[in-house]
Amino acid sequence: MIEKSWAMDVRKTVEEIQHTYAEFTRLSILIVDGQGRPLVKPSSYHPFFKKLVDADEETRERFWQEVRHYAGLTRPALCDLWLPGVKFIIAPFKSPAGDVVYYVLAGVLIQSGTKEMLEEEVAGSGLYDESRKLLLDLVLEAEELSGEEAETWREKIGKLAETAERILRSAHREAYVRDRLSELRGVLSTARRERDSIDRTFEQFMDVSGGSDVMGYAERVGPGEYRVSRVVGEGGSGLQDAEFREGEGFLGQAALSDNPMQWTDIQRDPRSFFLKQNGIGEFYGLRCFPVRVGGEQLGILFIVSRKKVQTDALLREFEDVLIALVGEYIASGTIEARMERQIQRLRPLMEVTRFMISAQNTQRIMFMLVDMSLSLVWNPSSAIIVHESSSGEKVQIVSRGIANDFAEQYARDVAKRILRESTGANSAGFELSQTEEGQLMIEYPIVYAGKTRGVLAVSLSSEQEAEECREVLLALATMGSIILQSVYDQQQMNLQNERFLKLMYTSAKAGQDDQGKNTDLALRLLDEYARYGGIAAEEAPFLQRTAMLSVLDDASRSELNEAFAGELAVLKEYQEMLDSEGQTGTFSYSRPAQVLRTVLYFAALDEETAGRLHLTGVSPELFNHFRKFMAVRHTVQSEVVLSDGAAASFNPAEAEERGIEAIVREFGLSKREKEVLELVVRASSNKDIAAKLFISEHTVKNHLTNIFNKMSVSDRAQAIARVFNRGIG
Amino acid sequence: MTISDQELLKLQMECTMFFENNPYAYETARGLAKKLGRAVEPLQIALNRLAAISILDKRGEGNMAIYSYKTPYTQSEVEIH
Repeated sequence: MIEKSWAMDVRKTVEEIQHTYAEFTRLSILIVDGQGRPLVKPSSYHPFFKKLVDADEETRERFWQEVRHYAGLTRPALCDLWLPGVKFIIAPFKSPAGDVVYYVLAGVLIQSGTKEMLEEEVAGSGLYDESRKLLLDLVLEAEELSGEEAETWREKIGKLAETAERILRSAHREAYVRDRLSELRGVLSTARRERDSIDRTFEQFMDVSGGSDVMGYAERVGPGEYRVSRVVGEGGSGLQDAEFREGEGFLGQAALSDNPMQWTDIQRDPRSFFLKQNGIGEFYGLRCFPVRVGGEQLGILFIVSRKKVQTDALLREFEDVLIALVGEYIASGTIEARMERQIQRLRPLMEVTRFMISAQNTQRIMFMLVDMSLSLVWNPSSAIIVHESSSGEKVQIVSRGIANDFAEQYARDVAKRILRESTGANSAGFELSQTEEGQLMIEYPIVYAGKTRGVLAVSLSSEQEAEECREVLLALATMGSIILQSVYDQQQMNLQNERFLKLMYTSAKAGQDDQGKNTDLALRLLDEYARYGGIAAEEAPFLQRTAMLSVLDDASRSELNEAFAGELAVLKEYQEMLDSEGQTGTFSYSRPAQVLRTVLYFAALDEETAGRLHLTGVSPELFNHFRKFMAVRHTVQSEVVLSDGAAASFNPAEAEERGIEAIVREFGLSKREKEVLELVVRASSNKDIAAKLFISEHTVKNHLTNIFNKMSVSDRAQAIARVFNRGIG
Repeated sequence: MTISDQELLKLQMECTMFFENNPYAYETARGLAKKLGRAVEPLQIALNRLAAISILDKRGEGNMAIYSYKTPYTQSEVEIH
């Protein structure tokens, strides 16, 4: 009921205005709906109106029958009811919803000077009792007015009707808008609460909003490319997964705009081809809302209306705001998901960093950067590191998934573009480039020691992927730079310390002619002994430093305690060995200390006598080996050259062959067992082995048991590992 | 069996680090699972992905497959000009 929808203050306002008019005109006024029911409390001066209000059903019905004769009125009029000359002003006005007519009724008034005549008319009407009494009351209590006055009151009552219409329409609109806003707020609340359920938000919105028949979201899937990822509404399913480009059709046009766009009466517009093609059928209008974050377009929300619907402007505005907010939720959900993916990738980076820190070797760190960057990108095809060589005119490459000649060509290009620059890093910390073959590369400068010394580049399938992984790769490249800086610092520090040690050694040996010469010889011997194979190549510099430290006095050594802690520990053992020389007992010294003792001992004596002695604490094997080395050192040329790049030149096939031969010799495998082992190493199953060797699977199992027993391994993986280890060793 | 992207990535990193640290290791998924204290099935997914992106070499198929580290291509003296 309309009365119930009115707020109390609206009713009071209408009543107040009605009373004011009634007081001013001295007329009774009643505002009724299309059925004659009072909408507000009447302003009753005339007894007849009091009767109407006092719920005299019969009187009310009779009155209403009279009023109904004027049902077609569109303007306020002076109307005769029951008796010509007994007048009421009837002013029609539209109900708030605009669907029916309400009335303002005012009366009772008669033409001045006609009262007596009317009384006579009633008396002679032949009416009796109630009807007669009603008419007499009407006449006797009526206001007598001149024709001019009656016209004035008619206009006034007309104004009252207009005012009542305006107030009621405004109140109705307010109530309607309030209810709809409340419903729309419900949609927003759902959108906020259930961010994952965008379809539900769309459905709820369409229920609430008038004229929204299909609602969907087109997501940006690549540069200028969009795909409809969600769509709800009858007949909209054909749009699911449909793709379009920027500028194509209405949706494509909306993709180019920062602001919401709206089109109506578009059925015959050629830009609607995309909607028609995807089964939307009949439609009238389209509203599009860009979903953006910062300067980035994430997608477009769109609403299709099948027919023209008049919607309150305020509501439409609120709907637009609401859709924009739903768009914000979608955007924040997208960004959240993107960040979550970034975090997922960043977490393992901590582990990787710890691992890289422990490597302390430039080449291994580069291996890790290449491998990790491939792991972090979802659809990688290749990664490459270009790192400057020490000379600065050449570069070093570590790559995966790139043809060798292309890697070299790309490295030259990167060297010219990035390594030649002073810092290399733009503000974003990366660059996107395209190779001549059209491959998209994301490039991160590796900056340390004050300049760009390398570039980590990863190939990507699209710019979208670049957006997804750029931060995590930046973090990886930055960590790589920091760790390489620490390796570089450590190397520089070692270099400085070594220079300082050499300086101190040179100055110390100046005052010790013999010992200085002996130590110089010991340094050379260590180099030669390393080439001879007596010690590992990297052991020689360590022992040379220890030998140099042996010449320094205690005060100088304590200065270098921190820089050469390992060397000084060995030197301490060496001195203990000197002290224990000639004593009997069990001595246990490290191998470096034993080597140092032997080398310094031989360097201090001539070869003839040195070869005859035994040194306390030095193993006889080492001593004899070194003695043999001393004996042949004049004729031994550097025949044995150890390769630093053993890993790089490792050939699995050769290792496999060497390994099997070694295993056969070492464990005494039969010819058949050797054949079985060869197939095991090539990852053949028992069935395959049986087929290849024309024996039963049962026999294969027997051979395997024997092989495993002989090799003392428990499964084929261990057997294979052992084969390759022998092959490598 | 389903495995989250995050879990897969973590396993990939773990396997990559293992093989970088042990470049001469030849491992089945089962053997590596024992060493890393991981379940075999998700590990196999991670190993296969590493093989797909050329970080590991894979010989054989299924449970018999043996994985080993593929040393990246390195070239230390490339002339810039």
